[in-house]
Amino acid sequence: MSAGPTATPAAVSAAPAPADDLAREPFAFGDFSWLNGSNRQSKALLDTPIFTGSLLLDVNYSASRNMPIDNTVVGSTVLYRNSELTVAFLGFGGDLHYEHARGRFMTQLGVRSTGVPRNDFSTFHGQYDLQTALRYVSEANGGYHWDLLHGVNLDAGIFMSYVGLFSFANFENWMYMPSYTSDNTPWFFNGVRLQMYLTETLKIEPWIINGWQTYGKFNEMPGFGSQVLFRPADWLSVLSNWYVGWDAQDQPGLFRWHTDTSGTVSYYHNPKTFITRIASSYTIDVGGEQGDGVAFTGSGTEGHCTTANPCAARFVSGMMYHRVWFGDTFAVTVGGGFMSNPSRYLVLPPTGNASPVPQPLSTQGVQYVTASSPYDLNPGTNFNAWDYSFGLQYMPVEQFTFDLEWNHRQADVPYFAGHGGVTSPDGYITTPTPGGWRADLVKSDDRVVAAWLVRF
Amino acid sequence: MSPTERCSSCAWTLAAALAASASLPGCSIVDALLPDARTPTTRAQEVVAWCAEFPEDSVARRSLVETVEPAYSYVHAAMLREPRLRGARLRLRPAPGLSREALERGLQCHQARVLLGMAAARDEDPYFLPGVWLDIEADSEGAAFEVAVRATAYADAQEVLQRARRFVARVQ
Repeated sequence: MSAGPTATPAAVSAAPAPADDLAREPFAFGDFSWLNGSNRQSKALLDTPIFTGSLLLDVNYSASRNMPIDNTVVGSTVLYRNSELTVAFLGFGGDLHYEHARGRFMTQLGVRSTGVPRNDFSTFHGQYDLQTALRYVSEANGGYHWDLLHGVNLDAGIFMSYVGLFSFANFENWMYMPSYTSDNTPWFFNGVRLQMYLTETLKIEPWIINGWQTYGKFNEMPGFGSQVLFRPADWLSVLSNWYVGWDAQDQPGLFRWHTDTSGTVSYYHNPKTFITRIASSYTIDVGGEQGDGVAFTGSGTEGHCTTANPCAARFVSGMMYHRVWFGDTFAVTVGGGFMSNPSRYLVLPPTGNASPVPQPLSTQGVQYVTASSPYDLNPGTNFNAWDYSFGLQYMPVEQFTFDLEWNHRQADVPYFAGHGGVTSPDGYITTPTPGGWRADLVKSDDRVVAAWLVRF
Repeated sequence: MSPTERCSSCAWTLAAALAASASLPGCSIVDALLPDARTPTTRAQEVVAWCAEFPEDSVARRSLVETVEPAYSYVHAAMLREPRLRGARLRLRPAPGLSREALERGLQCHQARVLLGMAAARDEDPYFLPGVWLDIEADSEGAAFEVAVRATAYADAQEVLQRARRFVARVQ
């Protein structure tokens, strides 16, 4: 229950209830199971009075037309391996709820445990290897619930961000592989959040966090943000997030801001017809960096970014998806989006020999070598990209989804893994890369994705 | 065509075939992909076969109902633990000799009989919705029973709750 574990529905005794007095808990007045980035399940099977268990299994197979020889995907936080059956995510845990105390934990096993934390450079700030310490935790938070307004919760720990509409749990999404707006925005926050349900239709949730998808902090200041969730009717949901933070190494004067707004509309619903529902989601993100040689608009060029003549550092992106349901069992979705990110501060760094960030992990004692052709993420660089996709989801029961989709991505600079891959001449990390060898990055990627998604 | 290109073509052909076969309406494979296809009538027929020892009207009386409140399930959705309205919870006063099991079976039999036209529904009967099979569960709650009447679809859950509230209102 979003309002908290002890919220009590209004009981009636021998008195007719007003027609609109069906349910008083926040967001319980309508059916929101159709939303993109939400859970379609009507019940939790592993439910007890103090613990509601949860298990998420996410297995995928994807095949790129580029057929990279190192079976590695570049530029996604949902796909990591190519042409292999991959356990992307296994999460188990659940919600604890007893009187006013609340807690939630979920593990993060599978390739996501290496694929998501690698984007966090804050872990190289200081000691104790936060990536290793926290990579197997996707959510770990807890706190207290007050029966104020329509419910107030204060939680601390690691929680999911929901900047970019799509959920970290692919089971909840209309498509498996989202557009850049979601794929390149943070998955998790580490900090404190205050969830305030002001009415049955409105939640406001400020955060104080360590940074933008970071376990640690880059500078002295924490990051600040908030989410507003407004569901005025059961056919409309509006989600808005904003964030400000100081998230660059050795640049305490560089300030990042970001806004993210989504609207999801169900414009047709009739359970008795062949097409039972049609809905669409629209998301627009605008953000930028300011200070220490960069600005939202700027004319500086790479290597010559100064306070007087800053380089452009901004993020402008959008995506939209349209979905048609055929009963509860089948749905098809088509959509796409774009992003423009001069200075590339939200571009997901390529891996392997194109990695611009350290790769501290090793495989059976084989150390990664310093990248021979690190991707340029310096201020003043350019990055523009777009994508489209369509897919089919088969949902025979509430606990299982089979997803099959096709996705095309395109960038104006080489970025995606080409046939030569990003690892070495034969694709293995044990093979030395000869002088002059470069990761094979290309401008486009076409792929088929199949996914098995299980949730209890 | 290189081996890599051939392999790529195979994968794309297989994916296209899978997508096409799964999307053919009316095809028998689609029927097999559908979940439990039992209709409410089929389910009622299954249940009514057990009902010989449960006379109609024994437990579905208005006079047994004390209070009604919404029945929620809580699911984790995105970053919220969201309530999902499932129907109604009815608090029933105990009757001498009535067990939880007998109450649950009696109400299920009532639903099955009404669905099959073997018994008449009461006005605002919360244990029955036309064309829908409801999950009815009885439990002991202190010195009373608590009966949860749940539907899967939100609109049905809403209707069950409204009916239950009007049902109990007519007691007075």
